Amino acid sequence: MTNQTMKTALARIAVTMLVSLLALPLTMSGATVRLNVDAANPMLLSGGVRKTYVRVALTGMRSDRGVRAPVNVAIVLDRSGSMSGAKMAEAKRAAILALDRLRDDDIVSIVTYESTVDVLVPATKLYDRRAIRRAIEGIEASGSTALFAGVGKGARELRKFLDRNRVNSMLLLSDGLANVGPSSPGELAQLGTSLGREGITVTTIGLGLKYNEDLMTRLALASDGNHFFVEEAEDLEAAFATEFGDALSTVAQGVTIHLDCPEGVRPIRVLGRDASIEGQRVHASLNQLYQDQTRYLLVEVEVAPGAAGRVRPVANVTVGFRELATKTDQQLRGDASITYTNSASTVESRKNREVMVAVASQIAAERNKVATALRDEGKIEQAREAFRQNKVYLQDKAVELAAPSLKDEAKVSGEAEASVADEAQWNRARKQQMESNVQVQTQRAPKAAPKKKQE
Amino acid sequence: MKPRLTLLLLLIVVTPLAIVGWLGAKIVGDEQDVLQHRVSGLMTGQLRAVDAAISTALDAYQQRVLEEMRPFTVERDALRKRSRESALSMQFYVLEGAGKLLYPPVDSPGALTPSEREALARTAQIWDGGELLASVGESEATAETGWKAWYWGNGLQMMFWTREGQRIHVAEINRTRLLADLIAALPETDEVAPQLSGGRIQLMDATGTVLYQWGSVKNEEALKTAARIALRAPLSAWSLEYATAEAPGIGSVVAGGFLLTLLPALLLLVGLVLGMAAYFYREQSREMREAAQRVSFVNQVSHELKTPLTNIRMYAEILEREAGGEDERMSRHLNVIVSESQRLSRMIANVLTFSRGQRNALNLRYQSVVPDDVLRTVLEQFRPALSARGIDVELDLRIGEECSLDPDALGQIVGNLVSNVEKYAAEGKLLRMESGLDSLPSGLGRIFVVVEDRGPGVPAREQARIFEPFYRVNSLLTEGVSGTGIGLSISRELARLHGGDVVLEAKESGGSRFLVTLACRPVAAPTEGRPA
Amino acid sequence: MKVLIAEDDRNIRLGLEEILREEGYQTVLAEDGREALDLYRREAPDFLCLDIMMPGVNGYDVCREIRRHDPDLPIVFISAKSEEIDRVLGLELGADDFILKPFGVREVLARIRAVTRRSIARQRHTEAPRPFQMDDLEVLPGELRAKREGQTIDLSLRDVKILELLHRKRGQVVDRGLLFDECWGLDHIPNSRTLDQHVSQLRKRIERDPKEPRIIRTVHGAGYRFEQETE
Repeated sequence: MTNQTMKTALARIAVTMLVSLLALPLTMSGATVRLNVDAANPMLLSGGVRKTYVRVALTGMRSDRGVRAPVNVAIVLDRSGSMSGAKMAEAKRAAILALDRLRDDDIVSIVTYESTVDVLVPATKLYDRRAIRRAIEGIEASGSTALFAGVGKGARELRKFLDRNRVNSMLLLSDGLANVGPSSPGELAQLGTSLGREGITVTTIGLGLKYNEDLMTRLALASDGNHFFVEEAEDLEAAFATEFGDALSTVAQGVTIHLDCPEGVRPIRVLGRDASIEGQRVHASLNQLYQDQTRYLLVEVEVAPGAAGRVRPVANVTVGFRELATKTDQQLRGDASITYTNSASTVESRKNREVMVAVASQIAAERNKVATALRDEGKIEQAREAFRQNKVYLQDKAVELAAPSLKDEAKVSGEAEASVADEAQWNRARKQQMESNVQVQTQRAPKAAPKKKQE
Repeated sequence: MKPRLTLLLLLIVVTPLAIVGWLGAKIVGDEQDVLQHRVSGLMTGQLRAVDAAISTALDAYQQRVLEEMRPFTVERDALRKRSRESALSMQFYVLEGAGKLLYPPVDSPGALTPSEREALARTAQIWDGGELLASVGESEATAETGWKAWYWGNGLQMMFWTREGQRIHVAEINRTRLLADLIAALPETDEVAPQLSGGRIQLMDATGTVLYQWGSVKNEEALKTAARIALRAPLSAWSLEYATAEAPGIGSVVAGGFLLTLLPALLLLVGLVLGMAAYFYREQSREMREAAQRVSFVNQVSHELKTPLTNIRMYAEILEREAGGEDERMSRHLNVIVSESQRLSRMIANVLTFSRGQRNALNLRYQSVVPDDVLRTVLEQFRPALSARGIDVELDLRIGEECSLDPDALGQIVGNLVSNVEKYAAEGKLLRMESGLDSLPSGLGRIFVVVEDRGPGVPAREQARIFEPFYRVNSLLTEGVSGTGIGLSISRELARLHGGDVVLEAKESGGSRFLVTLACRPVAAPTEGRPA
Repeated sequence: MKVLIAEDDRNIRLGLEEILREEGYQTVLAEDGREALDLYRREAPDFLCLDIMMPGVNGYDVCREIRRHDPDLPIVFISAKSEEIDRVLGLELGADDFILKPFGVREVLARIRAVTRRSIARQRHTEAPRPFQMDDLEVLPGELRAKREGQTIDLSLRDVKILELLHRKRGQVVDRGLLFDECWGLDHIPNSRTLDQHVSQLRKRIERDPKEPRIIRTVHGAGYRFEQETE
């Protein structure tokens, strides 16, 4: 080895070490979760009050143990009259296939609802799969839709084995409007909030074009669950598979995020998520964190003026969670700071692309909600214009930030724009819109592409 | 002449028929009125039981809220954390004695968090008007806790308060969560199938909107309210309703329809035949109905009965052990209590087994036991009753080795047979029991138990039917003997589940002879668990 | 041996307590699941009688929580619903046995003794209670049993204590005071009637002729004595 190559190698090592040292305060990683705290603008223009965003990103890492945490899942199925025929058959098939992915020591319960509720399978381990399968196969559709009671009973079954070391989730399927018991989106959201705080995640699947997407999405959002719009019954399997895939790849749950802003920094609002701002502090929580997925908290902050060259810390973050692989409570810390500069072009060139993508995505989701509200009020033209602007905004950002994901979101806005005038088309577009919003707001996976139907 | 004769004939035929018809209709009507009255009483009783269940669930909720509120504090960050994390409450508040809010900090609006601001807007009416304080003041001075209900937004909202010295701590309840928990505590349709056949219970809010309901019905449109009560405080704005789809009486069809057609002679004949058939059908079906009602009633209350029954039985037995057989009269009396409570236990077990059988929910639990021990235990339970009726017991038990079987099932099967001997065959003065074990080439075993008596036996034409539920041999002998009429049917069902059977064997000289067979697994290869 | 009884019905709780005390167990009582967990931590019982349907924390939860700390602690479930028991078994909560309501004293005793035998067997490696001979009766303390000519006689924990004491002090008079202290414990109020009755019941089971006792002989005015003649 020549002296020269030796030097290069050493230099490389030194640089690597330095980089990792530098990165250390920003990236902190437990065995299964990585925490990144970043400002959208690491460089801020000096000499005035500035706004920027802080992103607290949590990524579930691939577990090297190869053992997944046991799950405790309640499947709550609509079996009202409108489900009869292919819908019911597909729902049963999807549920049975989903169960095949579970282990014997997982816990499952199955609740069906129409005008009244049946707890078909009370929370039980999967030792007797045949009996459970028989129970599912025996479901027949008829009657009205007591959705609220179905969720209540499903929650009760989950609660029997609520365990911080199990993934506790409910999968709710409905194809119609809830008409027995409380049925306003607000009420279901209130219930969802309560369940979420208990550690129960409710993922909702709306089937066909007649369900109430406001109710289903608010219930899901409030409990930090996912939502799927499944137009054709044959795609139910894919939705079930995605949800079970998430549940089965959970690495951490009961995630709490505390973000403290130092002197001179003020949290203004949190984008997309329910969080509470108490003075300088922001509290938020996530129910679950999945392997290979990143979920985040996005906080808009106002930063006091500073002189060029000065470094100002903007956020100190503490994250607590239950690590399922080790059944232990873990804590991660991280922080972010900004540096003032006189050069506007530096501010621009040093922007954190990933954070900016997240911001664009959340802002577009908010604007879409506004546009949807306009359409709901019957202001069709204003709504069309709002959707159009949003589409353009997302398209521009997609190019500017080289983010293909924004292009997909732009497509959804575009579809909404194209269909505001036609009732039937708008109904579908609105459901797509809401589904996309939930996935943007909770950073949960869109459903897998449906498998080719087997001949 | 001819028309007059016809008229006369008509009169002769029609008049008594009309009278009979009218009387019949009236009797049926009266009976239905009485029945209606009794039924609505029963329904109200059921609703009260539901009300009590709701009240218990509310108490449990209250208890958990109280736990969340403790330890009491006025510290802002702690209260914020609680409000943020509570699954049961929306927001916590603290009032000082005079009614001023200590938390949330109303004095410094700048310090309020957005959710606190929302909460205050929601509850302004309560604080501004001093309503909560008034409600606390109205309650007894000694009351430590209480509820305050008010209307806002989606309907009934609730607050739970508790006193701590001069301060009052308040939790604003998450209303939908509370409702979900109350619903979770109420039955589901599949749980109640045997009790509520054709009926439905509905929980309604102040506007009469259904919040929750259970009980499966064929035709929802035909439902009519049969009973209704208001819930007890603090949910007194809500009500419970029992609705049923009314079935037409059997008698009225028979009595009413025929008067219209005037085919005298033929009609009289047909009428007579029909009348008799209707009478017998009614008698028969009434008995069946009554028996079914009894079963349904026991099924409804059986779980509740078990706790008092346990106490009666356990304490009687404790007393019996203490007495130690020293005072003969006392032990005789205690014996009666013990054996009667055992009879009641058996009856409940039968009813529950029956309704589980109807739901295909019967399971066996195999254990290693010595079958003869099980048989002896059963006989031991009956000893006082048998000796009171002068029945001698003859034993020839030969299964002294351990087998794997369900001892409860065996006990229940044989208990029913012995109970029948005691009830119906006391005059024979003898009960013979025989047991044995056959080894089968497969390595599995089969035990058999014979229960034999010298009573009146079962008439040949009845033999096929005695295993049907609710069927009782209709003769003088069964009069005055109470029971549900499902014992034999259950014994057979259990035995068949257990890979065997119960059969009535032919017997030369009087009396009956029941043969029980059960498949059992050898203990050498322990296979604990249940069959698929 | 200490038993934790968790049951929300007061009378059943107290009745079980009485039965178990009579058998020679120490008891601690809980009226709900929370209290049961509390007492489990504070009192370290040797086994548990656990009602399933209790307000607040139910029997399943208590069991599950305890199993986290002690996978072997014997637990006997009590329930009115056999469905609940099916559930217990289905979930493999590790129940050692179960008692269905309504139950009688005999059934409770049979189950408790069976669990005690297992529990003693479990601790065997620490301290093995050795079988001993009293007249023609072989006492097996670890199994809560005695044997004579191939016939097995079931004994309670207290019976075993009494026989052990008499055997240890063979040839000497064991006075009532000592018998009480050793076999009933200090929390019992001495009552000679209780003691005499217990002895008379025990004699009926272990003596060939209870009228002419050869194992537990009465020493009038003093107490009881066992005389080993063959040694």
